[in-house]
Amino acid sequence: MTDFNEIKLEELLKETLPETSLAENLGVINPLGAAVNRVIAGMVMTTITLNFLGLNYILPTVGIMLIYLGMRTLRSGNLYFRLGWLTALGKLMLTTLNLVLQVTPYVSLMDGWGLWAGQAVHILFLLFLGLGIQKAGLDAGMTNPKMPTWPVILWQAVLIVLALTGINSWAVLIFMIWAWVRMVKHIYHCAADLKQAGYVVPVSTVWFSAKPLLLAYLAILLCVMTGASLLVHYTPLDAEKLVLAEAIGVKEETAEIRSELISKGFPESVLDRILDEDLADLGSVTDVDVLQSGDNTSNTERMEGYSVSVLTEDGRVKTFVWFEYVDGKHAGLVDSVKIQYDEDQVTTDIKGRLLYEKKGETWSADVKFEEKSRTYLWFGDITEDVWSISKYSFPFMADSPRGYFTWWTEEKDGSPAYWSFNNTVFNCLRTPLVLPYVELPENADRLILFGGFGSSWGQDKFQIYATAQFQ
Amino acid sequence: MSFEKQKTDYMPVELVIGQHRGLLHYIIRPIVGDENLVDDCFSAVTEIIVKNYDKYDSSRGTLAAWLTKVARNGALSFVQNKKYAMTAGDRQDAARMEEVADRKTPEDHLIQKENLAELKEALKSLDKLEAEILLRKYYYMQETRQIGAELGLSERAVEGRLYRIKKKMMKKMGGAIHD
Repeated sequence: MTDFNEIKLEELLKETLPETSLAENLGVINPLGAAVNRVIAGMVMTTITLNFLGLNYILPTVGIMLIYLGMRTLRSGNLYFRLGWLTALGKLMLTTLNLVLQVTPYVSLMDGWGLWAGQAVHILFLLFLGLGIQKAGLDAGMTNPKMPTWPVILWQAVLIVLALTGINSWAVLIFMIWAWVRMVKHIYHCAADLKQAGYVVPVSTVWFSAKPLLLAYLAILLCVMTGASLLVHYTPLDAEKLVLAEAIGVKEETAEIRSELISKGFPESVLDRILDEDLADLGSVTDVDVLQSGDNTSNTERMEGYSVSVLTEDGRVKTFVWFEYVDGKHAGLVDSVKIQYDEDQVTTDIKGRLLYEKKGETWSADVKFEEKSRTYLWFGDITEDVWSISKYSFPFMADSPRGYFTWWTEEKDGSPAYWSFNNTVFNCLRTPLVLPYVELPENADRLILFGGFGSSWGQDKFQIYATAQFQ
Repeated sequence: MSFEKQKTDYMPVELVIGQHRGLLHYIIRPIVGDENLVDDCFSAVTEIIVKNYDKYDSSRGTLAAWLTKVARNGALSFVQNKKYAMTAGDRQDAARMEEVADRKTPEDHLIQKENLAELKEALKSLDKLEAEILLRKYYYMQETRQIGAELGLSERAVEGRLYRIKKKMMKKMGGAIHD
C-alpha cells in the first residue's frame, strides 16, 4: 500500500462514510461505553459462583480485573470515580494476595480479617461507583439522579447476613436467585444512566490497553501461583548414581537369601529389583506371604505394587512394599506414602528406597519417615492408630520411577509373629499448580484442581491393604 | 429521573437541546478542534436543530442518533465555512468557493459511486471494534488520544489498529482507489 493510496483512502473515508450505514449500525457512540461495559461485566462475574473447572477462582479474578480496568478509564471523571478506582485497585490487590496464599500452607491466613476487608472494600467500591454515577448525572443536567448502587449494596449485605447466620433453605435460595436477577437488571440500568450522562465525564488516557493488561496480569498471576506451589510442594531427593549390576545379585551372602525367598514364593520380578544391602539383614526365612495390587484396594491404573511379608526364623516379619509407575514417566509434583501398621505390634527400622532412570543412568535415593499416631474412641474402646509418612519428589522427567519400603514387625511380648498387617497409601499431586493447598498425605482425598493422581477425577491415591498370615 | 424516562415525542426543542448539550458538545469538539470556536459552533448547530426539529422521525431512529448526525454535519459545515471565510475576503467569495468545491462532474459521481460500493464491501470485513475505531476517526473526527482513552486502549494501540484496518481495507478494495 503506497502512501498515496493511504491518503486517498482517508479522503474517501471522510467523504463517503456518511453514505454508508456504519454509523446507524453501530449506534450513537458513547465515551464511557467501553469502560462501563467492563465494570458491569466484572460486577456480574464476581457474583457468579461455579465450582468446576476452577471457575470459582477464574471468574471472580477476571471480574475484579475488569472492574479495575473500567474504573481506570473513569478515574478522572469525578472524585467518587477516583475513589472507586482506588478501591477497585484495593480489591484487586486483596484478591491477588489471597490467590497466592491459596497455594501455600498459609491458605487460611486471610480467613477472618481478609474476608471482612474484602467485603468492606467491595461495599466501599459500590458506594463510590453509585455516588460517581449520581454526580455525573447531576453534571449532565439530570433532575434528581438517584444513587443507583443501593440495591447492589443491599444484596451484598444480605449475603453477609446469610453467611453469618447460616440460614439455609429452599425459600432463601429461590429468593436469592430472584434477587440476583433483579440486581443484574438494575446494574444494567445503572450502566445505561452512566452512559447517558457520560458526555460530560472526562476520561483518562491509559499507557497499556485493557486486553493485553488483563492477559498479562493473568499470566503473571498464574506464574507466581505455580512458582509458589512448586516451592511449597517440591521435595527433592538426595540421590546417588547406582550401577544396578553392582548392587543386585552380587553379594555372596545374599545369594542364598534370594534362593530361599524365591523358593518360599517371593516374586522373582520384584526380588530382582531389590538391592543386596536391603536383603542382608534377613536371616533364615520361614515363610513368605504375597499380595499384588489388583488383589486388593487399588485406585489407579498408573501404579502397580506388591506387599511381600517375610517371616524369619526368629519370629519377626520383614515387609517389602514394592511400587512402580506403569507408564514409565511420572510428572508428579510430589508423592507421599503413608504406612499404617497394627498398633498391637512393634514396628521398627522403617526405610525407603527410590529408584529412577535419568539420561540413561540409574539413581537411588533413601527416604526418611516421620512417625505419627492418633488416639480415638472406637465403639467405646480407646484405640490408637500409628503410621509413618514420607514425602518426596521424583525429578522432572525421571524415567521408570519405582521403589520399595521395608520395615520390621514383631509382637510386643516377643512371641513369634504369625501375621502382619499394613495399609500403605500412596498419594500424588500431579499438577504443578495445586489449588487450594493440600497437605499430603493427610488431606489427599480432597479434590485437586485439574485432576489428581488416579485414573479418574478425585481419585488421588493408590492403596495396598495387606494382611499377611503365616503358617 | 433518567433521560430515557424524561424524553417524549413532543418534547420542546429547547428542552431537547438542554438535555443533550453534553452529547452535542462531545460531537462538535473534535471536529472544530479549536476550543475557542466550540461555543460558536454550538450556536450554529442549535440553530440547525431548531430549524429542522420538525423533520425528526422517531420511526427512523433515536433522537440521540438524529442529533448526532445533525451536530456532525453542522460542525463540518461550520468548519468549512470558517475555512472559506478565512481564505476569501468576504461572504460572497466564501460562498463562491464553496460552490466550486462542491461542483462535481458526472464522471466524478460515477467514480464516487464505484468507490462507495467497494468501500461498503470492505467495511463488512471489519469487526465491531475496528468499525468503531474507523467511525470515530473518520466520521466523528476524533483524535487517537481520545479514541484510546474512551476505548481503554493506548494511543499506540489505536494507531496500530488504524494502520491494520486501512491495510485490510486496501487489500479488500484491490489496492487502488479510483481517482
